[in-house]
Amino acid sequence: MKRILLALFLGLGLIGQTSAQGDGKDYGQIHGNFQTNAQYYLRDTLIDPNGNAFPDERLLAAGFLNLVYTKGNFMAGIRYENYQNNLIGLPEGFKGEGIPYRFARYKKDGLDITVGNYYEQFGSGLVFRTYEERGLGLDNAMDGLRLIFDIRPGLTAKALVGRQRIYFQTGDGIVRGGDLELNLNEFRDKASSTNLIVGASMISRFQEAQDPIYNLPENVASAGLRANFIAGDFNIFAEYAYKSQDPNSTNRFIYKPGHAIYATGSYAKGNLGLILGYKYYDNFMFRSQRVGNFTEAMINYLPPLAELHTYALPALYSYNIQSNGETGIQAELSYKFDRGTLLGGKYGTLLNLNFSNAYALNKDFTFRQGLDSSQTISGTDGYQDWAGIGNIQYSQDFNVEVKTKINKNLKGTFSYYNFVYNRSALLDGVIDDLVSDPNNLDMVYVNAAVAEFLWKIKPKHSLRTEAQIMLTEQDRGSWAMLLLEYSIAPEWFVAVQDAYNYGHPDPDLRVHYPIISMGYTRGTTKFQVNYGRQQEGVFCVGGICRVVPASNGFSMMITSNF
Amino acid sequence: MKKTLFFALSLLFALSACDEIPEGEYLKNVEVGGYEGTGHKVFLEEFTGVKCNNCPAANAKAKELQSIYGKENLILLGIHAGNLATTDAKHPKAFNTPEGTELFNFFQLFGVPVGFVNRIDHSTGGIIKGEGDWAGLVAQELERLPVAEITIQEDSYNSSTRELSVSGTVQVTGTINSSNVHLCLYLAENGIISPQTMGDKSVNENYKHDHVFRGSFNGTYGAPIDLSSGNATFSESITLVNNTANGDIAVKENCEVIAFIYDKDTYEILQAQSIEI
Repeated sequence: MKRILLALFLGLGLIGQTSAQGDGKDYGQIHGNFQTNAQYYLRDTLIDPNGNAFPDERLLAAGFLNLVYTKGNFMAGIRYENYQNNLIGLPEGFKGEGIPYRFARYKKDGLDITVGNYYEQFGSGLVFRTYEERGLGLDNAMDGLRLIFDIRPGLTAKALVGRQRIYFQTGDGIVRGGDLELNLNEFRDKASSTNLIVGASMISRFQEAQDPIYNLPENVASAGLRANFIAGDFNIFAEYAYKSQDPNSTNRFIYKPGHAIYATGSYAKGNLGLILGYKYYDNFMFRSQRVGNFTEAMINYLPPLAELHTYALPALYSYNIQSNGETGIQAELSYKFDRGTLLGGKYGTLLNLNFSNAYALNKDFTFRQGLDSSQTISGTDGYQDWAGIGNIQYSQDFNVEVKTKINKNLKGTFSYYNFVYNRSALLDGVIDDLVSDPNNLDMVYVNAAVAEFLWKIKPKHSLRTEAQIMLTEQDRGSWAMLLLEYSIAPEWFVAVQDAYNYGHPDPDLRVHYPIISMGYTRGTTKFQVNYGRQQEGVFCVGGICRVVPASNGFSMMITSNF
Repeated sequence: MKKTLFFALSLLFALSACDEIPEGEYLKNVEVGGYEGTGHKVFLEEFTGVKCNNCPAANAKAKELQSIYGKENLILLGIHAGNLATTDAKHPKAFNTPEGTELFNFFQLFGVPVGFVNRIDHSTGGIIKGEGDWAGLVAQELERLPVAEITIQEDSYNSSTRELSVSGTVQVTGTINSSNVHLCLYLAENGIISPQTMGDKSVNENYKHDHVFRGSFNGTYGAPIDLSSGNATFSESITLVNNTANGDIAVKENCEVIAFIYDKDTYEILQAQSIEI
């Protein structure tokens, strides 16, 4: 099969070349992109006493190549992936090489047909979202059939069936679903600043059940209703979703149904922007098979409603969505002070305020005695429906950011962060039904500040600096970091940074994590090499996180597209 | 237009099919200990670690299944391997073995708890299963008819050298579609009290470790056994763990010997047996 696919694309490549010779015929086009990451690991007994980040292979490398052929309404593509073996911290299930992604798609008469692999999302993703995020080692692509039908302008129906990718295989469960969306303005062919978009989506999973203890539902469904109302400067989105009984390894085989609410409202006018958000997720992690680790076979997506921090030290305490239930809010306020005002200064100043929190649900657990005489929630409803806010706090994040131009060659960004971070739940994975006393949880209280300057030294030459400080008496203690990055646009950059964990409770671990990096860009191809010590951290995208272990060594990345 | 819309909505609702289990019927009527098997024994190899907070729950699941089907039908083995099966100040004993680490690497495992049920997951190219899948696979495997019968007996134990010798027989009772059958003999120990990280990340100093893999009599992958005549005998010995440095000393009376035959081409386990010694 792989040979057939490769032969097909080599053939298409020849066609593409023929087209380029300019005989006037349209043979279509081929586009693609390539990426490879490699790291050579050095033994560093200080930061990694057990050798967790010192693989037997010493050198690990992972990469991929996407090829997409398009001609008119037809499109086909493959992705070759190569893990020899996967980098430390990423799922080791990605091992070896192959073509796990291939598809063909065409559009005709209002019908958009995809066979093979595809990514899709209904609404905010509460009911269904498949996507790829290589940084997390997440790829839950569907392998099957998808139809998108434009019934008439403003009214679109989607239907799909297939199985989900798990590493180089597909999961046990069959996923079926559909979505219907109505855009009122498009439907009525009317242009207006007021619009209503409504949608309904459903998804169902079938997986055989042979459990000798539990009567497991083989068909599990989730359905959602959503509405997006836009009126001038206001934009309000809300979605509610319901999931039928889904006893699984994540919820510890409880039978209560799941509920999810996700709502945001925004207002933007002139210099002012305001966003408010609310989330309520109860037993709403949905996988296409009952058992899955980490990011495997996830059917849906729970928006985190928490800011994703990009500076290295604040990012150490990024929020990780809690799959068994949580509730919280987020508020964001941004205001631009005009130039010439007291706070705007000579060039204007942008202020961003952000607050978010998340709590466990107030679950009144139901226990039963297991066959081994232990108390368990498995095989019960688990707890009551519509539980309120519980007494376990998962996180709180308050941060302020000020962006300003100090003079014509110097820009500054100044940030302050205040976190409450439940390390036991968010990093160690302690599930709330195992918590007998919330006071025993490891809570981390953090104050952090970052000052970033971008100095344009001369045309094409700039120096970016980051000074970061993070103060805490818990966890690994306080940190300080300094980064200097010199760029010669658009080709070169060189950067040095040092993160110093000066407040670690163990004096032997008050160590420096220096890294030197260099990058070169030629056209659409980028090369980057790094050498140094990487501190243990958490890498998060969209509320889904993975732990990056401390490591030492050389790394290289090449990206290219055509 | 209306027909199209009706069709699309009907399709959506049809796809939303779900099964509803009434309250009170979540659990099957399980009769503990009353299971009568076919004679085909199931071998569940559970990969675990003393620092793995999800492993006690997985181990409880395995024991729950064994309490349903009985030790005579379901044989358990806890293989401590991987990064979570290492010692530190809170976990002075890790129970990892060279053979367990070799299996962990050979099967390309990348986390615990996971397990093999008769290693059928490997032979079919499937992904090794978490504890939520074990029950279904065990039930499926127990329905198969036996292809062989294994007997084991303790021959001798030298308390000074701590060498244990066993012997036994393999009698073919069905059709074995493989000419590359291997026999493996493993030693397991029950009732080891030693620290284990629990689900809430606390460390239980007095956790009782059962079915702990202590090593192999005849190598990680065993040795070929010739069953062309319909039966064969075996005789092997092992030296019990005696690590005086950290007090990890196997107690002979708590040990059990597990023998199994498997198809070396697929690694699928064809029959197993265990005895307490």
